[in-house]
Order: sequence, then C-alpha cells, then structure tokens
Amino acid sequence: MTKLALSPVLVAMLVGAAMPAQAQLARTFVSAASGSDANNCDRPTPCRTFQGAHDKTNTDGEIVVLDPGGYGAVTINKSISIVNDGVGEASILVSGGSTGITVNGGPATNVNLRGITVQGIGFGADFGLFFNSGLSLTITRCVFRNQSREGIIFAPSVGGASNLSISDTLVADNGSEGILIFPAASGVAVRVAVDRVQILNNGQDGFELAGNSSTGTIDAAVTDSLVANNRASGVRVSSGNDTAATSLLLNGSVVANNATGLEVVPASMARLRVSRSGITGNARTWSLGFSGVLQSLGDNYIVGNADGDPAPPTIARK
Amino acid sequence: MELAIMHTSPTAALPLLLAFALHAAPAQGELARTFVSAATGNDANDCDRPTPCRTLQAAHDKTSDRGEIAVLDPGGYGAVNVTKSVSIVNDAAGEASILVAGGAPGLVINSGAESHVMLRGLTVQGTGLGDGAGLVFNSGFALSIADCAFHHHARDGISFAPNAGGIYDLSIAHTLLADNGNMGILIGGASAPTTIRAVLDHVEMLNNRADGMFVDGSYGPGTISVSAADSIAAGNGRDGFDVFTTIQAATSLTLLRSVAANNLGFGVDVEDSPKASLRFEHSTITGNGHSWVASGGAFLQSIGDNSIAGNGDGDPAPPMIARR
Repeated sequence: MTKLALSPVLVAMLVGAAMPAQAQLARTFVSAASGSDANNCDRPTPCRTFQGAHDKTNTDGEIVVLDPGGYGAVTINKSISIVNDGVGEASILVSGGSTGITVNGGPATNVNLRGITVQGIGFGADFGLFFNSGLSLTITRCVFRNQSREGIIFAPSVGGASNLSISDTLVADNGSEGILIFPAASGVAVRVAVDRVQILNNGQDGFELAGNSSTGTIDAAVTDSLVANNRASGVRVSSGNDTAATSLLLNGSVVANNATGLEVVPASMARLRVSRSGITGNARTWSLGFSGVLQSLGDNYIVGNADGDPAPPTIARK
Repeated sequence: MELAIMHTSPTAALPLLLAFALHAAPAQGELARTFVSAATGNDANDCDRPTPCRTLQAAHDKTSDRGEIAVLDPGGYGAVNVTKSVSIVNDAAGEASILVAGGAPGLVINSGAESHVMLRGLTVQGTGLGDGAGLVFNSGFALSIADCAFHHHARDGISFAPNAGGIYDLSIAHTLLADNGNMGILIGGASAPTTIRAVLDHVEMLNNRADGMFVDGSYGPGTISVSAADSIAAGNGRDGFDVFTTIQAATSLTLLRSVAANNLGFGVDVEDSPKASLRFEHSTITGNGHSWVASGGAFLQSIGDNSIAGNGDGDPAPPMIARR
C-alpha cells in the first residue's frame, strides 16, 4: 500500500480536531438545537453561540454550523473560518446600536465567512459587519440586510495591507451605504474584489469607495454584480487631492434605479472606470467633478436614465 | 444473428451473465457506496447507510473502485489518500471539512492511470501547523473538483503536478482558493512527456502569497492547455495568472470573462520561451502592480475587448489578434 504514513496521534488531530491548546480546539461546532456555551464546542457537545465557539477555537481554526437558528453577534480577533454549508439559515440578529460581526484581527489575520445571514431589527445605529483590522476578509454566500447603518463597513484603522473579497452575497435594505470601504489610516494598501453581489435598496449609496481619511492606495474591482434601487448613488468613488489613490473598475454589472448611477467626487485621487455594464433607470446617469476620473470603456449600455443618458468620457478597450 | 441468439439456451447464457455480474461486483468487503458521519460514524463499521464510517480515509478504503462516498452531516472528516476511482460528495449536508496539520496535504491523489476522481463540497483548511498543502495530485487520469474551498495552507491550495508522464484532465468549478502561502493553483508537468488539459469555471483565487494560478511547463516535454472562464485572481502577492515554460512543454492559458485584480505583481504574466502563450478576451485587468508582461519570446494576445485600466504601469495596450 502506498498510504500516507499517518500516526494515530496525527489522525486523531486531523479527524477529531482534538488539538487542545489551553482547552481550545482547531474545529468547534455550534448548534441552535442542542448547543450550550458551557460546552467545549466539540461535535458531541456543541456551543450555542458564535462568540462562545470563537473563544474556544484555536487561531487558524474553524467554526462549523450544525443546524438552523440564531447564533448571536461575534467579535473576531484571530484567523478563523465560520462556515454554514447549507444546513439552514445561520442568523445573527442585530439591534440596540451593536454590530453583527466585528473583525479586530492582527496584521496576518485571515477571516473566512460563509453562509451567514446578518439582519438588523432596529432599535439603534447598527452595522452588519464592521472590519477594523486584519490582513484579509473573505465573504461568500452571506446576507447583510436591514441594518440601520451600513450593511458592510470595511474601515482598516491601521496602515498596511487589508484585502476584502465578497462573492455571491446580498446586501440590502440598510439605512446607510450597502457596502462602504473607508480606511482611516496612513499608508494603507486596501484591495477589494466584489463578484456576483447584489446591492439593493440601501438608504444612501449602494457601494462607496472612500479614500478621504487615508493615504496610500485603495484598489477595487466589482464584477458581475447588481447595484439597484439605492437612494443616493449606486456606485460612488470619493477621495481628496492628497489622500489615498482610490480606484474602482466596474465590469459586467448593472447599475439601475438609483438617484445617481455612477458618482466620482471632485478630487484628483478618485477614479472610476466602467465596462460592459448596464446603466439604466437612474435619475442621473453619472456625475463627475472637475478633477476626478470617470471613464467608460465604450461598451456599456446607457439607456433609460432620466437625464437623457449623456455619454461619459471613453477610453479604448485593449 | 437472430438465429444465433435464439439458439443460445438460457442455461448456456447463465455462466456468461454470472461472469458479467461478478466482474461488476465490488471486491470482497467493499461497497459501491459508502457513508461518513461526524455525528454517528465509526471506522469499525462497514460504512453502509445505517452504520456509517467516521473518516473519509476509512470510507475510501471500504469503497470499491468507481464507487462513491456520501457525506451525511457537518463536521471534520480527516485527510485522505485517494488510490482509486472514487467520488467524494457533500451535497450541502453542512460543512464537510478537512483540517490540515503536520505537513501532510489534506487530499492526496495517488490513483491509477485510468482513474477518475470527483470531489464535491469539501472544505480543506490549513491550521498553521506544519508545511501542508490543500490537495496534491500525483497520479490518476481525471480529477474533477466542484464547490470546494481550499484556504490558509502553508503551501499551494491545489498542486496538480503528475509525477509521471501521461495524459491528465483537471476541471475545477465554483471553488475558492484563498490565503494560501504559495500558489492558489499550481499546474505543472512531469519530466517525461505529459499532456494536461485543464478547465476552470467560476474559480476564485484570492490573497495567495505567490500567484493566483501558476502554469509551469518547464519540468518536461509535452503540452499543457488551460482554459479559465468567469474566474477571478485577486489580491495575490505575485501575479494573478502566470504561465511559464522553457524549451519544454508547450504551455498555454486562455482567459474568458475573467478578472485579474489588485495583484502585487502582474495581472497576467507569460514567460519564458515561444512555447508559452496566454490569450485573453472579455476580461478585466485592474489594480495590479503591472497589467501584463510577455518575456523570452512568449506570446501574449488580447482579442481586443478587455478592460485594462487602473494598473500601476499605466495600462499599456497588449498585442492584439482579431476575433473571427
């Protein structure tokens, strides 16, 4: 046999996640049906809340959702994955001025979230997800809706690299921006990739990339996404003349029925390019200040906006 | 013909039928379909539905060639060394996870030259202990991966580098490779003549320390052809998509409707001989340190309809070819 030479100890580590380091496990479990935070969060005796499990999970470990239900707000301060792979809704209800998921990681922290619904129920200025620090945050198949403030706010408060990736996710019905990228530090290197995300019915902008309070670079790509029915701008890029170089490329997306489809504030460091996208049903198609950059690749569908669909400046495809 | 059949009596046909039946039957003690459960499984079981096994390795060992392993509930199922044709399927029963520690990969494929291996719905995560990779393919014929996640490994998320010459197929769909210490995906040949045909669809390669995807034809002669559609390589520490060969294998990558964004090196990179080629259409290259490079006589060709903007090098126009 050409099997791997796995020692019984190693097998136990890999299989049972029984890697106790100060009573912590590499893999913990949560159950709304049978969990208790007095447990150690292993498979036979799961915990009840994300926070209870988080605190009993090793750095670089994971939390597995066992069944549908509410799992409570969580503050993350280490590399960790929280995964619900189709067992039913794993929900966090947010109220009273709190935040559903807070990320306070270190400069090498990787956080993965999959299959989680975060919903506001009023009673205060709530956020769905608030990112303060960490190296990377990857969100797939989640929902952030009905918060009184932002659905997702990505606001690194320390300089250096912070990467945000969101795919297959719904951000809707929030009181402020759906997704706000707003670092507040000098020397940031923020990189954002948004793919197949629906940003709907938010009270202010759908997606805002804001370099006003930082220096360094903010680069974002939004692809195959839908930004519709937001009260202010669908997509907004803002910065100053000596703040972070803030650039967004929007490709293959739809920007519909917002007050303004695409907005670039009058600042030399704000840049928005758009290609292969549909811009329709907005009160104003686009808005560009005297010193920002708004460029079409010349292959967009711009029809049915209330201002008569003015043609934006174009650059060539390559 | 009809006469011949009519003249074959049922008695005479029976041994023939029995022979077919026996040929199709699993080896002794193995089942065509086995089950694993983190809630109730035990590796002392035979892995059938009422008495499932606990780990993927035990189920694999009790599954007949060309059989399948079904995941019953969420939990950890341990690393597995695959040595046959088998499917491992988690169809949304909850997270089916493999934590990787101690230097061994989460999944190793050491199957025979005609083996087909299918993996669906698995999460393979590094735990920061040891020098592990997510998946290492050493031998087999076809490997299909769907709805999986490989993240936080010390080495590559997926390493598809056969250790002998031959013909190999790889397909990856709807899969995430993130936060790995080396490549998101490595595809490379063997020292003997190797043909690799690989397709990627809706694959996300994010925040890996080296390249999102690295296709390396420099190990030996042959042909490596890779197509990636609707896929994204973003936030990687080196290049988004990187194709490399020498005088060895002809190595090509075609990108369709894909994205290379915010990578510290090049969005797309093809090097280091005329045997290397990279073509891209309807794709987006933005926010990278540099948009593209072709060196050593390698071919980089745009179909002329890509969005290339906002890169650190001022977005030079690549060589173009016409659509037909």
